Amino acid sequence: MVLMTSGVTLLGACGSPAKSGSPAAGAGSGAPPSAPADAVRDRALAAEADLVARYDAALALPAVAADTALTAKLTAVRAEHASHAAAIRDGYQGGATPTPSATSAPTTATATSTTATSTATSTAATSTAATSPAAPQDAKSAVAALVKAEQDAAAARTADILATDGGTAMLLASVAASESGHAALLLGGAA
Amino acid sequence: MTPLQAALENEHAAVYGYGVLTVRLAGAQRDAARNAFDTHRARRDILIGLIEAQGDKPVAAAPAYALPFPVAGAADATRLAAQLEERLGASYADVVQASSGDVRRTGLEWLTDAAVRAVRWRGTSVAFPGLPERS
Repeated sequence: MVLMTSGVTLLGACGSPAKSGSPAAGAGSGAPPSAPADAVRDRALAAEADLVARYDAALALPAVAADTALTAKLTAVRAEHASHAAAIRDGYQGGATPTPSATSAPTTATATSTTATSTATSTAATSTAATSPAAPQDAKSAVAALVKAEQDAAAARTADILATDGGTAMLLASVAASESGHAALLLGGAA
Repeated sequence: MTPLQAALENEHAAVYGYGVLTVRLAGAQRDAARNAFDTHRARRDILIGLIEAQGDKPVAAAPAYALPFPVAGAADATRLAAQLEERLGASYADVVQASSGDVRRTGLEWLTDAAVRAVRWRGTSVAFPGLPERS
């Protein structure tokens, strides 16, 4: 049943359908890039590796492992961070073969968590919390720490999103929005 | 149509849609829908100002909009609200790509807000809000 017909569909205004494909496709539109896209992507990859490490640490806690629903939720969010990292890596020119000098540390970082985060200089200060002895041991504190890490990661991308090319900015804006969504998901509560 | 005009068209539709769906909700959900209605009405007005400032003529709201499915109860209402936010997120992702400076910052903030509201309506997250071609 269509309640009202005016010829205008409620969900009808489409975004630009051509924005699929390479995130770099938008380069050249909008602002002239003032931050090198590879450096921007390196910082984003380091942040994603740090977040994956934090989820791995939380999932390893006995208090979390004992909670099936929480484990499923955290595992799903961790997978979305892995998707973020894959999409950010795909944005390099050539995709599968990123330039070694720019990407070697963060690219290998995403596979194995803790050693990688220590090599990611831009996030070294914050990433130690994921494995530090002071990390929370109870599930509630662990989730609260993840909420803060998600919010911090989203906020930390703003300057790069404003400074880089349109295609990279759009991808990283989506990643940042996803991270804010993760924080909301973990906080729970009614809409 | 420019990304700002497309976003405005979706804000018009969201104002209409929240007006329809809010009455199907109760309690905290109704409060959230009312808050969203007010937010989207304010954004509609900001977008109109931005578009006029660029010397363009803002797209007008339609008198009514066709709903994608009947909104008979709370489950339909939250499903529609999530879809409205997802569509807005895609609009604001386009704004981020095509703009710079303060407009890009606004696009980022409103994409984030749409993603957060969509998570709350759906109860699940997505990896790439605003980029449906990646999901």
